[in-house]
Amino acid sequence: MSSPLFAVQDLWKTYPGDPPVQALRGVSFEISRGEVLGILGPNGAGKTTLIRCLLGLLSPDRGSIVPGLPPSIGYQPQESLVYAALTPTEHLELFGRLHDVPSSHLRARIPALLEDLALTDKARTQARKLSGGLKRRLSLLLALIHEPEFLVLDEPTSGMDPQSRHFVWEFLQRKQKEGLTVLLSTHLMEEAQRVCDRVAILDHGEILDLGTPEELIEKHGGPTLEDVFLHLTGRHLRD
Amino acid sequence: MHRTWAIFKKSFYSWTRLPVALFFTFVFPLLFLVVFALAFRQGTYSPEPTFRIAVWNEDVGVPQDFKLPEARGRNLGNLLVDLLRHLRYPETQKPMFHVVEISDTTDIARALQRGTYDLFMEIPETFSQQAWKYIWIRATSKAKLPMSEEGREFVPEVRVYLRGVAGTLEYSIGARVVRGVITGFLQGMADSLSRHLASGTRLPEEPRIEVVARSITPSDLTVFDYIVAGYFLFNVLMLIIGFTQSLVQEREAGFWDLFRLTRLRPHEYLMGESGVFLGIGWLQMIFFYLIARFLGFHHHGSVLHLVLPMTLGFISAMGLGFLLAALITHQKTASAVANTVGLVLGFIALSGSGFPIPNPSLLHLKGAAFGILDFFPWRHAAIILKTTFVQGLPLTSVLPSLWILLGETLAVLLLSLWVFHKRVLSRGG
Repeated sequence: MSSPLFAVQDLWKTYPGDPPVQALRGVSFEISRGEVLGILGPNGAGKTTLIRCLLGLLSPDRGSIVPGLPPSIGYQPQESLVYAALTPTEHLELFGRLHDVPSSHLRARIPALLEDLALTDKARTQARKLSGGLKRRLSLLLALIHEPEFLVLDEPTSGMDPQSRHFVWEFLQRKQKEGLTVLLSTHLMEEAQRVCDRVAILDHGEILDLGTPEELIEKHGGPTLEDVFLHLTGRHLRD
Repeated sequence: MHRTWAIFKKSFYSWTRLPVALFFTFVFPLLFLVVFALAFRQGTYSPEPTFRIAVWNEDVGVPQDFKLPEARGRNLGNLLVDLLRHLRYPETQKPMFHVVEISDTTDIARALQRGTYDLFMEIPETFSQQAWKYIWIRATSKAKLPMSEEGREFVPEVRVYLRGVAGTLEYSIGARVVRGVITGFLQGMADSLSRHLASGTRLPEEPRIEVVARSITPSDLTVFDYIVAGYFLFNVLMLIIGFTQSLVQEREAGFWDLFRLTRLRPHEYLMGESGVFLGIGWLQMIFFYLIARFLGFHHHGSVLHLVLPMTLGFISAMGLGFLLAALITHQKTASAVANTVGLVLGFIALSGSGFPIPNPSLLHLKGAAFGILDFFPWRHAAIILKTTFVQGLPLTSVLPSLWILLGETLAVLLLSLWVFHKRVLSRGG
């Protein structure tokens, strides 16, 4: 593992209300260059709040990111954000232009990206006609159009069939080898074990444990990562 | 600039590739335009109201001992009632008054409240006597004849009593018209008498009263011509609904979060979105203009007089759209609010063309009264459109409206940009 890209130090966030909701309670971790860090947590654990604070979309009450986030960030939100009337090519052109990617570079990069996630055949199909899995893949491409240094993925394979999931995992592994740093929030233990170098288990706004999947399994004596997860977060329903 | 252009293209495709949006932008409003044309293109526009006036004429006429023998026994009250009954608007020949003579006034207050009559006029029994004295003295003076001692001491006082419901347009305007008619009636008679006195000829059996008026606006305009102008603006306001909804939909879905992670600046986003709104608005207006011409719409002003108020109307509507989008976070709320605002303001923009509505004054500034409707820029855009584009009068005739429209447009736009920038596209919100 190489040098740290940035460190999150003592992040706190409380949503006002009656009673107030403490979404983050002193979250700290470090992420290294080229690493894939998974954030595992049950519903309402604080994963999305953590991501939004990291991205600067939400102001934390306390805490800091040292030395700061890299300037170029890609973000795939939990919902597939695509415009129904635009084609995948038009989406990539739009976000490429918004990230100031030069036109000449875009012309070469768009077909390559579409090819990478097997969307070439649908390049000129309006998004309203794409399946949920295809929209998910397109939204991942939108996060990568400007070749970011740091990629944040919020449940990137939710709603995908197993074939598409494996296809996306292989794609992410290739990207990691190219040096991309990834923060990945997921519910899927298989995804965490397959793609992530390290995993942080988050619940009630706190990181309960952090380590490689193998380290966590060994430390908590669970035969699988899912057992470790249930051991740390409990079996009671959250929703 | 390339980021603005990217946003423009995105919104343009999103709008033009949505069949429902195209239908509600071009086809649906067109149906109304055709209906308006069929209903209102015949006959000329007549904004003149006919006042319903109840008259209680107690006048007993000129007494037999009156100095001027020719005047004796004449009943000027009857003459006045007859004059009111036959007064017509010069351009349209529409009656000014619908006169109902009554002999019982016990229920008159309730009839006024109910709106059975706009005005009640009581002509007292001494009306002819007082009126003739006034006429005689004025005529004598005008004919430069020696005035009697009685005449020198006489203070002219001719009384007619008017009643109505205070605050209603009909009462305030109707009362002024009646006062003007009576004054003109008395002065006209005095002038006529003075000419006879000076020339020594006999007074005619019945004096003639003539009302001369001339309209400053073209008389060939139909109701449809006025409605088309208002309808252009109505559709601008209808566009706010779609515009606001699409912005809030984009926001609620989370696109604005994605934009915040790009190099897009708030003003670039606003310019791109505004460009589409303006473009669609212009396309719609040109389309409706051509169709309206085909359906018989005509105007006396230059097309440039369509461009100015419509552009300012577009910009202020867009400012309102941004303001709503910045303040509303959910699409369902946006839909309800934008529909309400758009429709209500739409009818305000139309008021005064096809459907005049009262505009009670709220504020008096330097002698000018401002009603609640005067605070809406589209009201002034409608006034400018109708006066300059439809009627062909110069822009100088609507300068107050033009300044108000310019000022309000700028204010709405700046406020919306500030709120938008502050609440929406800044990081950490």
